[in-house]
This record gives sequence, C-alpha cells and structure tokens, in this order.
Amino acid sequence: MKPDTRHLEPSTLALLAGGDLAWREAVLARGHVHFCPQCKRQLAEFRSARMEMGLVSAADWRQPLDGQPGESDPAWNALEAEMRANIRLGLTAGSLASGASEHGEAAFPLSPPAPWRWAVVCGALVFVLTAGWWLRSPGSAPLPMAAVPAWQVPVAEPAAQGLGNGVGIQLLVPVADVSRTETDFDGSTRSRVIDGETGQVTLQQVYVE
Amino acid sequence: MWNRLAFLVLLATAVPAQMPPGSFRVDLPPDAPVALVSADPGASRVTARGGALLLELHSTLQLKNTGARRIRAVSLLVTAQDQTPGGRASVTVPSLDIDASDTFPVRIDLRLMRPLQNAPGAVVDVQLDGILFEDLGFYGPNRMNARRSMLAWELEARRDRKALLAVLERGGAGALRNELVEALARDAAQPRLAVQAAGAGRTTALEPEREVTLAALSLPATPVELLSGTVRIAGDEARAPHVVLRNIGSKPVRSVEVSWLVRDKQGQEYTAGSLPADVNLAPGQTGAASKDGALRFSLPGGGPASLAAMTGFVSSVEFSDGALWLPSHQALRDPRLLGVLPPSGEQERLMELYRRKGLDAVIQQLHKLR
Repeated sequence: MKPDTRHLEPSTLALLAGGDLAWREAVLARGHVHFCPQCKRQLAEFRSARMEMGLVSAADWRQPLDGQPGESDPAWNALEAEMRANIRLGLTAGSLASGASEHGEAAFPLSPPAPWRWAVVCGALVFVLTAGWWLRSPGSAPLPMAAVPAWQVPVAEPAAQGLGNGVGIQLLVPVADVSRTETDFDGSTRSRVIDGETGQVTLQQVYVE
Repeated sequence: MWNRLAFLVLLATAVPAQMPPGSFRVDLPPDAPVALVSADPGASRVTARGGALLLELHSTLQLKNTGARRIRAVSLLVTAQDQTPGGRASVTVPSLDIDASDTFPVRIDLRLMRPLQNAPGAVVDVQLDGILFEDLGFYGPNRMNARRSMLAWELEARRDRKALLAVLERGGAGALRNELVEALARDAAQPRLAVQAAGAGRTTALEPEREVTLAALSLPATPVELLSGTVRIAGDEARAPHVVLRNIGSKPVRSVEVSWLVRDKQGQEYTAGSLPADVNLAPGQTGAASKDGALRFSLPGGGPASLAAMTGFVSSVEFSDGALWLPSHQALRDPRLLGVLPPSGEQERLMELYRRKGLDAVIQQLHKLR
C-alpha cells in the first residue's frame, strides 16, 4: 500500500467538515484526523472555507428572488437538501468506483482490516457455498440462463426422455437481447435478436424435427 | 491430452466446460461470395445433460463480401448433430447493406443438443446456407429454406421502409417521429403470452379437450383463402391444428404461412405464432395442412392462459416460381390486427434505432436503403 493512500480523500474531509459523513465513517475519519497532522490541517481549511461560504450564504443565497428579505425560505431549503443529497451520492459512487478500479483497494481504508473481519467474510462465503451445494438437486440443476424478460423466460428444457422422439425439447436463445421468440408445434423456435450496440438483427432458429 | 481429460471430468460432473479448441469449425464453399475473416468461439460452453451434451454457443464470425454484388442477407447452418432433435439451427442476418470487400459480423448465440456418445470433441459445424443480394438474387444450397425466409424479410422490410418514407415525405420529420412513437407505444402496450411446446401427451386434466373451429380472417388481395380450420383446445393448450386452403390466385402455390391469434376467456386477443405449411396448390385447387404437437400458453405472470378461441389468416404465400406474396402495409392496419400483431422485423429494427440513436439515424437508413 502506498503511504499517500493512508490519508483521507479530500472529498471525505469535505464531508466531514460539513457533518455529512455517515456515523461510522465519521467516527473513523475523526480518529484518523486526530493522529494525522496533514489531514487535520486540510480539515481546518475546509471548515474555514465553509465558514466563509456560510457568511455568503446567510447574506445572499437565501435572499428570495423578488428581493424581499426572508429567512429559511422553504423552497431554498428543499433545493439545498436535494443538492446535498445528490452531491453525497455522487461522491460516494465516485469514491467507490475510483477506489476499486485504480488502486485495487478502497480509498477509505483507515486501518488494515482486522483478522476477525476476514474470518467473518470467509465464514459467510463457506456458508453460502455449502448452502448452495446442499440446495442444489442433481435432477433440477438449472441451465445457465441469460436474463430475459419474464414473458420470454425459457420454460421448457430438454425433456426427461432425452433425445428419443424430439417431443418436449425446446432450446431457446441464451442471450438477453432477444426481442421476440416464436415456437412451433414441434418445439422448433425462432428468435429475433437485436444487437443493442449495432442494431444488427439476427434470426436464430433451432430445429427439433 | 490433459486438456481433453479435464474436459471429460468437467462433463462428468455436469459443470459447464469451455469448448476445447478446434471444436468449432466454419466451412464455407470456395466459390462462395463471402469469406471467413475470423471466427471467435467466444464463451461457448458444453454441459452434460443426461445422455446428451448441451452446447451453449456464443460466437462471432467476421465475414467478408468477396463478390461484386451488395449483400442484403446471409444465412448460416449450424450443426452439432444432423440427426438429433435440437441438433441443428440456422442463423440469419437480414437487413444488411454490405458492399463488395466490406466485412460484417455474424453473431451466433444458440443452444444445441448432441448425443453424449459422440464426445469428446463437441464439434459444431458452421456452413453457408444462403446469401440474398440486393437484386434479390440468391446463392447457396438452401438446405433450410433460407431463400424463402430471407426474401420474405427483405420484401417486408422494403414495404415497411416505403411506408415510413411516405410518412416522412408527406408530413416531414415530425410526422415520422409520431409514427415511430406510436409504434413503440403500441408495441409496449401489446399483450403477450409465453408459448412453449407442450409435448405429445396432454398435461392438463382440469378441462376437457374440445375441437374449436378456427375463425378465418381474410386479408385483401390474398392469393390463398383460408376456407376452414380446427384446433383442439384444453385449458392453456392448443393442439393439432388443421386448416383447409384454396388457391384463389392465378399462379401455382408452393407453400403458405398461416398466422394466428388466440383469444382467452376474458376476451383478450394475443398473437400466437404461425404455421408454415408446404402445400402444392394449382390455381383453383383446395388442399389441407396440419401439424402434430401442441403449444401451451401462459400469461406474463406465469399462470396458465385460458384459451377460448383462435383466429387464423394467411400471412404469406410462396409461389412455385419462387416469388412471394405478403399482405400490404394497409392490410395490416386492419383495426382487428393493429393492436395485436407484433411489428415486423424491419419496423422493430427501425424503432430500436430511433430509441437508441434518434430520428436522424432512422431518416438516414430510410434514404440509404431506398
């Protein structure tokens, strides 16, 4: 891990300065700031900037558009809340994306994960795998299906009698961009696939007879 | 050796296995007007299912037009096992506009079956079945009747583009936009049923099976008339359709496609596919076509549909000389059909183009393929 990734992100400090971090993250961030002079200095700058902004806000931003003095205009309050929520959401999504893709690690690990956390994760994983294996019945193991709209979900699969007489077999196209499927009385299917990127149409027909 | 062994072990455990190299073979005739540029077997997988292998193919072929004529459609035959039900498929790419020396992709996304005893080496053969050119000329062995389906698509596409172009010229871009938006809204509002093959025996004992007479809908200028028809209905299943047709035109007919609508007990009508039938009918001659097997219909939520009646109409006719008859654009605007029939393939392609790239892209296509 690089040393600079141990510092808090500026966005985190900005949210901390405004009291906008979630409880757990705020506690961790405060703990880090307490021992980190660089982050403490940056946090102080953010706070000072907020104070200046707060003066401007108090004087001008909440002034109604018609020029009449007014305080705590409900419309402005609602707008501010909406903007804050959007900014918070954007920062969270951005930090998640950049932290995972660029460094291969989250940008907010304040301390290395405790060993018990790994144990919990591994335990949960083992539980899920075991439960999955236990619930899996050999006779009803599902085919790997692609996500398709409910009305197109392939309901028929190769019949229990196998390939004997062909009756009961229906093999549908295993992709998500099937626009429609027609089925013949013998089980043959005709699917129309429209490529989402190129718009190219492909007709896939599986013959059962 | 070890790869093959690992492949067999994976098959034995019914875990999907990546298809081994060399199991995907593309074989184009040397004199074909297309050549293979590349074949990517992609994420194709194979799984043992009882006594059979289930092949899940996801591949993209890059083909090049090596001839001089513009290509409008290509059809490939994909075979895992010729004699096995579910062992053959065709992949057709219509609505193309490929100039000489241009390359184009063909996506193969299929599930096929193959007997297990032929393993290892789940070989899939890809062969050319046909090419349709801009002048409606055809090349290829036509083993799966690719010529008919590609010609039908192309003629239908020309009919629908012409209708949209007429809207554009008559009312401008705004009118075309309205037409596309209306078509999208109609398509979204259209009720749909899930349909599956129901197998040989009846699977429902809740309702007695009864023979229902098909209501015949006659479209203007049809060269073949649907005289009568029956289908056996029990609950959510329809089986053994039988239709009687008469050639009322002046040309001998080779094959006919009868499309149908089903009505449930609540009076809601749905499109329910079609019955392609090879009938050789001389002018004035009457003949019958029937199919074994059954279809089961279910509602979008998954519950069984309760069928009450079926309506049939002749939706395309292939003459003995290879020419095709399709209903006119005006005929398909019959109020009875308008809210029930799905958009044609070309309409749907242009609707999707509008949705993703906007009106200009549609106008460009209409002018380009004029």
